[in-house]
Amino acid sequence: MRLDPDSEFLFEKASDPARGALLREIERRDFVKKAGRVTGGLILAVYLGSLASCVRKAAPVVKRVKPQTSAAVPPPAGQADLAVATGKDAGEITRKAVDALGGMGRFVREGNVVVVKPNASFPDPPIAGNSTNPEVVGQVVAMCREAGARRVIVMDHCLRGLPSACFSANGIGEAVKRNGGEVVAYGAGDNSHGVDAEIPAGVVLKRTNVYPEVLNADVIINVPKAKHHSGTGLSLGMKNFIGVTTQMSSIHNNDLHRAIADLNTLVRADLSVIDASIILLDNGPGGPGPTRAADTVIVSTDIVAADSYACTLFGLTAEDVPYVVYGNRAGLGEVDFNKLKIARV
Amino acid sequence: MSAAGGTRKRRGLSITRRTVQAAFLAFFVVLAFKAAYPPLSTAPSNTFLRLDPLAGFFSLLAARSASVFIRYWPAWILLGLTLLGSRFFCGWICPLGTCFDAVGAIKPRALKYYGPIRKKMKERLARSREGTLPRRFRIKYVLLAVVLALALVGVNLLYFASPLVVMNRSVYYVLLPQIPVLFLVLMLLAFFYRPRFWCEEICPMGALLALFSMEGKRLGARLSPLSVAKDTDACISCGACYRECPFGVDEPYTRSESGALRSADCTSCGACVSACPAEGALALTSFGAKLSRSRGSSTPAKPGLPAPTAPEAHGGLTVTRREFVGSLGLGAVLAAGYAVGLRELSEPVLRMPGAQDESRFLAECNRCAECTRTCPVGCIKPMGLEDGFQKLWTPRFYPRTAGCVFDECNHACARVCPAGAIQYQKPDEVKIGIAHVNRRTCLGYQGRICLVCMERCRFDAIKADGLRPIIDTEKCTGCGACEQTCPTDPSSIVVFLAGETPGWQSGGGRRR
Repeated sequence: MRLDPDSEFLFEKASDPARGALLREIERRDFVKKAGRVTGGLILAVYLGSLASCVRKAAPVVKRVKPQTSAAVPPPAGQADLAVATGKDAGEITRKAVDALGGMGRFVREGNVVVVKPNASFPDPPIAGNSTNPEVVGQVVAMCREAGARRVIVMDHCLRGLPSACFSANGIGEAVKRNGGEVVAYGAGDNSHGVDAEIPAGVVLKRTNVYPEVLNADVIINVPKAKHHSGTGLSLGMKNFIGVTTQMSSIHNNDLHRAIADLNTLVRADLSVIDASIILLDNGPGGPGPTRAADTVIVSTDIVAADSYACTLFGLTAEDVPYVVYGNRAGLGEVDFNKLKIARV
Repeated sequence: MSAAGGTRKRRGLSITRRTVQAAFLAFFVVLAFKAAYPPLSTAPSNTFLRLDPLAGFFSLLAARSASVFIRYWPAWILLGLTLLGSRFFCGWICPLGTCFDAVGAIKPRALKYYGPIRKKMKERLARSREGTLPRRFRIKYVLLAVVLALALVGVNLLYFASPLVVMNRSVYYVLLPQIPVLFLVLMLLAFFYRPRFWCEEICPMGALLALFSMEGKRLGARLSPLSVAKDTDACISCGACYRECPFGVDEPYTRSESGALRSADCTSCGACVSACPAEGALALTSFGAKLSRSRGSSTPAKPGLPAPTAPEAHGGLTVTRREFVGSLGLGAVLAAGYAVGLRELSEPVLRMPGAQDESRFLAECNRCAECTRTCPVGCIKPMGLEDGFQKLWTPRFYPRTAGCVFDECNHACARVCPAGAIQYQKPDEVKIGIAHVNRRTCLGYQGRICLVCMERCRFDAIKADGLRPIIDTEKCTGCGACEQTCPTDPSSIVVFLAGETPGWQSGGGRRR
């Protein structure tokens, strides 16, 4: 660096040597001051910038998921609590079953924001039996729109591959868009979007982190797949809600069955629509494995009863799937579905 | 700034140059944005990065194949044009140079204390006439030699040597957002020292372009795509050109005969042409045609000195052949010493699918961060110094952060790589590594319910034996989806390179 005092601009000004020396002093001091100010400003800006990025990361802690609307509305007298529809056309039997419970208008009000939670974890077509049948999801979305829902958000986290690719490979994305819904696809383990939530009724899971959509929903409709699960025996409605948390690890690191029941005390479904059109019998939840066309859709306001009924399709009872029993103990529903009024269509 | 001092006028030429520079900078940044997933497939977003002849030489030295030569076609075009003219890239195109100029432009005038001093200029002109002007040695040629010599032993230093890579990394950091430290340091230096100090003194790519432009300077202005020509008859020797030159080239001032400038550091930016108060003394020419000539000043400056009359031609080259050969030798010695210490560090680490074998990867990867930027799941991150200096900033695959989705992103990282360090592979060819289960910590082996790894595996490579996961090593691609989600901490399922043994029993399990 050339710090020659005879630099150009001084050369022009300082004709008198004595005055020049004075000027040089002043100019140098000025320069040092200015340089200091600029450096200070830059350091401050960088520091504030890094602070701002820290602030953005802190998420609010949510105590409880917003209570759902239909919880307060008593069912009409004589109305069935559980509907089981059988038939080849999965979309059609879904509509029949929901109609047997009084139609979607019973759960979805004009202007509601509905979150539909399918099991869209796997990028395989319906024949593989590991994701919810797109026709069932599409029909649910269509019924919500008919009932006047403002937005129907279909969300899940995807276990295999890119979320967007997953939703297009299993056909759910296309079915949702065709029927006027929106898809929100997360990658499993992506906890950058989650919101912390406490689970007051939790036994083993006291805290978790959930995707914001379920917190802001007026109505939550659970549209799980009934299938084999190597860990829990069967994957049904209650287990499907693992897909609303960002923290799969903390769920599995606990007693998984109890953790599922705890999670279900936080996020309650207004309606459960279990897709059992093609059921995966082994090597679940992802497969590939043997499948059976059970051609059934089970719909209920009682998630435990629906799960308990779905067990029978596999030749099992709720006793074989402990989380259903824990759900019953936690007061989430009735494990003995025979106590309920069942409509078969 | 005119020679008379005081008024600071923007001339047409300087406005044109600023516009061209801004356009290229914007283009560069847009391309950097476009590298985000999904990257452009028709017009590769890395064309600009392949404009770098130094990177081209690097890859040629490392790969020694014709395909690399073809891959770097933009660099050879640039080099060809430079060979005919000047290092115009630095003055008109280089995005880092544009940033330096921008910093120089915002600098308050009171801080510009570095300009040449009139007294010294006179002395310089006099000594130039005598032919006793000492040649200034510039470190950039040594650095170029070191960088090229290291390329021979497979060490890639482009992250510092190529302004395009420096710039690309900076854009990447800003987008993250992180603080681009190197960029900020350079900009601060540019602000407090001189705007173009880097380009003039240090930049190895600039040195390469300068060396190539030297030969072209002998050919004459007729062949040159861009150069500055002087008309000694019109020159009033006021020195405005020298003082305005961002590279401190004195040739337009001291040169004693008419014709195109020969200084290796002249970027044909035309700053001297804009500044010249003597009508027609300097002109920016292209293939012999004058694009812009000095228009003269409304207040002509007093001639500082009589016009130079020295008969001998002044080449203005800033490096002699002897100096260059000497620096090559020095570079070779340094490189040899460096390479000896590197052998043990070049053990392979887990990288993205299609990454070349480690030594070639290290040689070809120029650390431009394009792959990191494009990865849709963010499973590639630049390495730090944990595995030695040689691997600094090379992209590494971190399965615990995210599993690789090569089968769904259509191998985006390979498609954006400008250097060919990552080769495109079809999904069924991919074998990043193999997952291994640590049976001492895996929940399934403790009789607990989990099998999340099996849920995540999309290659059907994990089977359940009761509650315990079993890996099918044939089917496993090493995508790492299982490692990402394993609930235990640390992960009980870890991707290792094929052939590596986990060594759980010996308390190992550390992946290279």
